[in-house]
Amino acid sequence: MKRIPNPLIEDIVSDVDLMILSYINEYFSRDTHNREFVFCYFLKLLRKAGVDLYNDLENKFLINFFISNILSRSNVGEEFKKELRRLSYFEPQNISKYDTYCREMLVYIVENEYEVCANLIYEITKKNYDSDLLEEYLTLLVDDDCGILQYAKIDKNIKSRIDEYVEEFFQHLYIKSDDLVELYTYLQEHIQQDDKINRINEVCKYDSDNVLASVIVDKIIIVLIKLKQFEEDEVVLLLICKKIEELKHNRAQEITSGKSLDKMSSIRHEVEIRPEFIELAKEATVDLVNLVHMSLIPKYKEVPISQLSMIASYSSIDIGTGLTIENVIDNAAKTYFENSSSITINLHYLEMYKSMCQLALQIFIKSTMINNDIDKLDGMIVDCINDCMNIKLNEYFVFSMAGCLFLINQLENKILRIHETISDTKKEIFYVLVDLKENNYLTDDEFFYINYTIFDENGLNLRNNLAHGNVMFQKGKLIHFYSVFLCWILIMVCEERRDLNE
Amino acid sequence: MNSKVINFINEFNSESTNIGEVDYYFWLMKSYEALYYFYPLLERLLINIVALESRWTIEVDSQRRLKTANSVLNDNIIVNEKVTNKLKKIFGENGPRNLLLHGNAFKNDENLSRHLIEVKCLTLELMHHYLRESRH
Repeated sequence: MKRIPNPLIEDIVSDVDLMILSYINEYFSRDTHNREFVFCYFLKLLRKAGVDLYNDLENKFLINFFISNILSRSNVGEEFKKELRRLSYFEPQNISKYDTYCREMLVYIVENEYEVCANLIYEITKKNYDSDLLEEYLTLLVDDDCGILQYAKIDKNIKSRIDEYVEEFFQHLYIKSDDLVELYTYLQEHIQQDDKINRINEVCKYDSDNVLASVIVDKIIIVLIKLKQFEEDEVVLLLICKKIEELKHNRAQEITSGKSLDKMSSIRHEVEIRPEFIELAKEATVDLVNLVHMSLIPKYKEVPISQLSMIASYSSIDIGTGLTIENVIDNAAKTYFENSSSITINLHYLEMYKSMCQLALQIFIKSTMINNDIDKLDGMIVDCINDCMNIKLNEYFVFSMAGCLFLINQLENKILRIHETISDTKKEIFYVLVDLKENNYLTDDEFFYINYTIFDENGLNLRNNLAHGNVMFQKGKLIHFYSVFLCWILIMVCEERRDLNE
Repeated sequence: MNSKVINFINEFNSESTNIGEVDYYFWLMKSYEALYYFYPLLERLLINIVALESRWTIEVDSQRRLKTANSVLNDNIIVNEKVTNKLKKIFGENGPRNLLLHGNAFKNDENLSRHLIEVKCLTLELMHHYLRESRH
């Protein structure tokens, strides 16, 4: 096994790590065209190496090394690069966090790297591939419950059927992650509204037992969502969702009947594709894991098990025997605060954080369970906002886009005020957040969350969308409020740290 | 609220437009928070008016930059010069819109009531113009 010819790396990493690094490097150099293999081996080996790789911060360098290697390849799509950069943004302070990101990455590949998925199906059916590598790759993905590949594996012997799908759909829908517009243009130009509905019906009818059909429909949904055309195509999407429900129905029944919590990951397949979930994903794909992670509270023990399963599986928390939801929310809150700063956080903030978690779950439940009668929730949310932010707003205003923009504006003012106490210079909000991070008043994660969710100047952030009238809604999208609340609490923590420092 | 205004908003909402449904609630509001509704609505209206007239794609220009009220007002006359100038005042660098969205303007401003009426009238004017253009 050859060694990495980079003295800097050799200085930092241990021999064991270096061995693993060399092992991976071999795959980097072995086949430059198969980045999916490279990346999956990277993930696999990270997991295999376990504690050794995660335990010290020096390994951040190691992880960044892998990532920069992937990024340096010209054939990697921009979106993919962006996600990898996001991955590299976080410090590997604990395994579970990284594990979550790795899982997110895998889901990302399956959902977004159509080229990779399409290629893989081709590989399975058409090419005489290195079967050992392929098997490992598939096993890895199956282990991580990434649906499409699991199904691909199930169907791998049904060559002709997959070929048909590939011919009929991938030929048209075959897209690169950075070229989603092409697909949507295709849909718009070639399929009129009525035909579009028929076509989708056809897709679903094609073989209702074969989940590949729904996977393709999923792709369309994701594309539409990404292109922010959801509202225009609502009718079509509702049909798609209905069809997906139908497709999943039998499977879901089979999975849930008489099965214990051990089957959570399987149940997740059923619940994660629910239309309400898709709606959520549209609103905050990036924040989903955070959302559910913070949503576990004791009050909602009566939530159907499938909901809890989804929450638990997404938040990587085992709610099996011996662990109550109450423990979990407690631990989640404590862990959050332990990780977010080296200083002791006022109990008041811990309690507030927990109440925000409760609120988050209520919002989450309301967003996902349309038939539940929780009329009182809106009032509770407004009370919470008024209490936390020390303002008096009425319900209608709070749940309007104007209310959301108002809250963001107040948040911005609050951030700028905190900054005034550490610097005389006036800066734009992004640079203020950077300053706060560099002064250790915000952790990397917190900075990332606040900036990415609301202020990130990529033209698509929540503040800009609202302020420039790109988004007009009558009744606010709950997920936006969730994001704004969470940012508020983070800024309050930031303020607390600043006060303690003074 | 004036019944003519209500009728007009009804008429506007009954048409399928890019603007979406206009919310009555904010027309009744007299506090400065209403501006968080009207400034974005004004911007959405004026951008859609220019889009109707010049047929460029809404939201992004050829460099995929977001089109904002300011960039549009520099190159276009909206409705007429008088309206355009009023809009320029509102959306200018140091105009009330920026002061509100990047600070705390209007919280205790004695001119608020006059400004709010002006903004509501402008909004009605743009809605009216948009409706007329979109029917052509």
